[in-house]
Amino acid sequence: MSLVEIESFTLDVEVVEASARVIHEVSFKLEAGQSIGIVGESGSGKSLTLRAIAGLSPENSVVGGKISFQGEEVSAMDRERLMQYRSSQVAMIFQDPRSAINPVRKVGDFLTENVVTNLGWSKSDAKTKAIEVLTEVGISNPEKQLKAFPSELSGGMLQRVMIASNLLCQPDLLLADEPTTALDVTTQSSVMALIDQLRVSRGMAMIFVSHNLELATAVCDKILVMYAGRIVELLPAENLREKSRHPYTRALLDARPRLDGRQNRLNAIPGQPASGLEWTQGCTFAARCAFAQDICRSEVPVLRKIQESDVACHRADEIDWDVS
Amino acid sequence: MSIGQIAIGRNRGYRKRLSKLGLLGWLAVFVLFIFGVIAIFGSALAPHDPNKIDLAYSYVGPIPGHPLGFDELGRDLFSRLLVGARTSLIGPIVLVISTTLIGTSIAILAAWRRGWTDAGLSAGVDIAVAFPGLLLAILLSTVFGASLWVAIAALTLAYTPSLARLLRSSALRETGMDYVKALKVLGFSDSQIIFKHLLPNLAPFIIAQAIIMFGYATLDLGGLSFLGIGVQPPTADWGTMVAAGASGLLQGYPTQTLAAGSCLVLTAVSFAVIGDRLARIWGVE
Amino acid sequence: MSTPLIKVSNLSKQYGDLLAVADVSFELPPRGSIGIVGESGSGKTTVAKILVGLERATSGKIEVDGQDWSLPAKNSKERRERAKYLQIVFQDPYSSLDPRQSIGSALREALSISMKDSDEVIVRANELADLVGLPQRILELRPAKLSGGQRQRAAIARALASNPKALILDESVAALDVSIQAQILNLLVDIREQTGIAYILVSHDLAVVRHFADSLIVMKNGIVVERGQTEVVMDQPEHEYTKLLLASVPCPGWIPGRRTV
Repeated sequence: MSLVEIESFTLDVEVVEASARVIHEVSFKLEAGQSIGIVGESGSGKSLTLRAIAGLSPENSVVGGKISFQGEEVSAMDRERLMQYRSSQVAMIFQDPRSAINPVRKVGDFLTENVVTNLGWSKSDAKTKAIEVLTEVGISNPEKQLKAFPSELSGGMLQRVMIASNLLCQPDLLLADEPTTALDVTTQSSVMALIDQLRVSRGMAMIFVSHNLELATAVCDKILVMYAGRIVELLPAENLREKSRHPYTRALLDARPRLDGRQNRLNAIPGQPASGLEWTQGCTFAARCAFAQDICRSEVPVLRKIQESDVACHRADEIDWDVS
Repeated sequence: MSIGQIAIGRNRGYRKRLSKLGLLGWLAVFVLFIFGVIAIFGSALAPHDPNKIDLAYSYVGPIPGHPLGFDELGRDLFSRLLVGARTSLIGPIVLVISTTLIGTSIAILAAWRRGWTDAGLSAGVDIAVAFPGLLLAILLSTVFGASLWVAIAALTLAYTPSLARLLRSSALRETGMDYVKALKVLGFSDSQIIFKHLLPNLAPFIIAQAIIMFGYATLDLGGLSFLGIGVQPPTADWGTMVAAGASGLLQGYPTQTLAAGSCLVLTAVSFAVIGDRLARIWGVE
Repeated sequence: MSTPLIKVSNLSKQYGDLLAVADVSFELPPRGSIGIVGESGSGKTTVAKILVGLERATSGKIEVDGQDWSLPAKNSKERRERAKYLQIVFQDPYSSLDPRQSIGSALREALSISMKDSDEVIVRANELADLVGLPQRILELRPAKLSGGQRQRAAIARALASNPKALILDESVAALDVSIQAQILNLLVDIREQTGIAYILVSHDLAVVRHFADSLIVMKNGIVVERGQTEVVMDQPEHEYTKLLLASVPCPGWIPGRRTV
């Protein structure tokens, strides 16, 4: 049994009193200790997918398919079980720590109130553990920081506190939604190193959502590329650059300017990133794909295995990707 | 904001927004519409001369042709109520307009200039807010004599600071937006930016506040008239009628006070409801 | 060496106790491009604001095309004059356009500052829309109906309305999706080819700066720690901080937390 199993997950949201599908058909598995990066642009559905795993789908939305954690279906969890699930088994790190932490309460309170109130720990136990995890995330002088308010800490430090708060219980799964996007690149580097190291030392599995392909590749075992509410490609991270086969994945890789040399023109994908709401028929990427043919516009491509990737593209095995 | 979220937001069309007015909202609009019509056509609609005194009919109850009966001086209550609508509504209109003009100007000046101008104006407003409007009105009426205009002036002074304060935070947010900076760099003059861009963006909020204020204005001016500081007799006015009916109340003839008082409350509540609904429709906090 | 279009010498800005910009100098040649690289708190955005007169420098000299711009413009008339030399595009595509105005109207309004003939204004507005790749039908829409990329195009078009010789791009592509970023970067290169405009690119994104800027300065805590031709600085960084910056950018073979390449 995998740690996380997602089968045919769909998400319908309310749009002007009617229901519309924004995530179509997402399926994948995550084993214990494994890390998977979900990569995509706006509208891809990557954040919604992550939140569904945490049981945090938007109000008035309908979750279809099955999302299971250790064999237990997340949508079947009642309020109490969900709280327990989110407090001790699953850890979540969001993009903006300042919006997730109450600014008028001290850092120490933030760290301890969950375990004291919901899990019945004693205050002194909680405090000891809090100091332990603060040290683990690289915060010097943890006793002092317990008494500080969030506004006194930098973004990077606050994100570390956020990470620390998740480590108090021993979660099996870490869900990270763009955890470093709001941070400076040097801070991002050290926070990512921290996340990586903690994950490995504690044997946590991780689902890491990012718009940054390079970042995800560096810290994840597998990469899941999403576009307009569907998975377009799933492959081992080390194969991403050389062996990816979906036109969107390749286009995304080419769209970034390179650090090691200037090109004349970037390979920009024409048009705008689509959301799952805009799908009518066929492959959603067909409208922007340089390789689209009639079949692409009429039939939805299914994920199939081609060499080491799972690709959802009718033409994946025909296209010869010259990796320059 | 993800595309999904944008698409969801974009599709909330106007129809759903108007229905946010709700049953209560439409009721309020209806009430104000009726009152507005009465205010304009009051004297034509009144079945009898509102100022005709006939002491023989003092506090006589409803009789055919006089649905509400008579006031303490034997004047037809219904006619006085109708004619009084105009005075009772004009006062608040003028008050709201003057307060809004001055309050908005202060808020925008503070938000635009920031720095010492803002600090100074904010301090001034903080002090002014502490002054109770009622006391101010009494003070001004002893100096200038009691009249509707004195009452309006006093309440303008009383209302402006709170409005200015309220608008200041919206104005601060708006002036901090990048488009204002972009317009400055392009070379637009301050007044061009303020009048053509800033005010139109702040207008929904300002209008919503003004409408809510109308309700308070109605009650406060009515209250001042009740105290004898606002509208003077024999002018028909709901506030003075509430006062005049007080003696009748004690003698068991509550109609005048009740009728005039109800009109005042109905107006105030209707404005409050509409202001609140509009604020929600326009997506303003 | 020809006269630089923009010459900044010993620019400093103090906010109370904080020295946000300390003794910054650089030059932008006509038709050239320079990157100002730094993280938050580096002072790079403050430099940009001082250049367009949104902030006043505490000390230092700014020369644009030989004129002394060390102090902000005295009034909007002077601002209009300066707009013909330097304009700016901001980071946030959502707040840089008046939400109540269609972008066509915003564009025409910006043009009417310098053009008096309303027919000419309309023609030029359409030209600018073409230049930035916005179809005509989009012009009558309000910003809320446009995507982030389209809004940035509109913001660029508006900035070009005064025909500036140089354009400051203050993290102008940072908030955009990767594929849209690429579109806008290509657009900016095209615009430069067509109009000969010079660019000052303020960015934390080294890859974007590499793609775009001929030379760069690296700022940290208000100070310029390294400067030079982009290729040289990126391939052979000298300062510790520059090395750290380069080592922190995710790229093939990147390991989080490394401090040198």
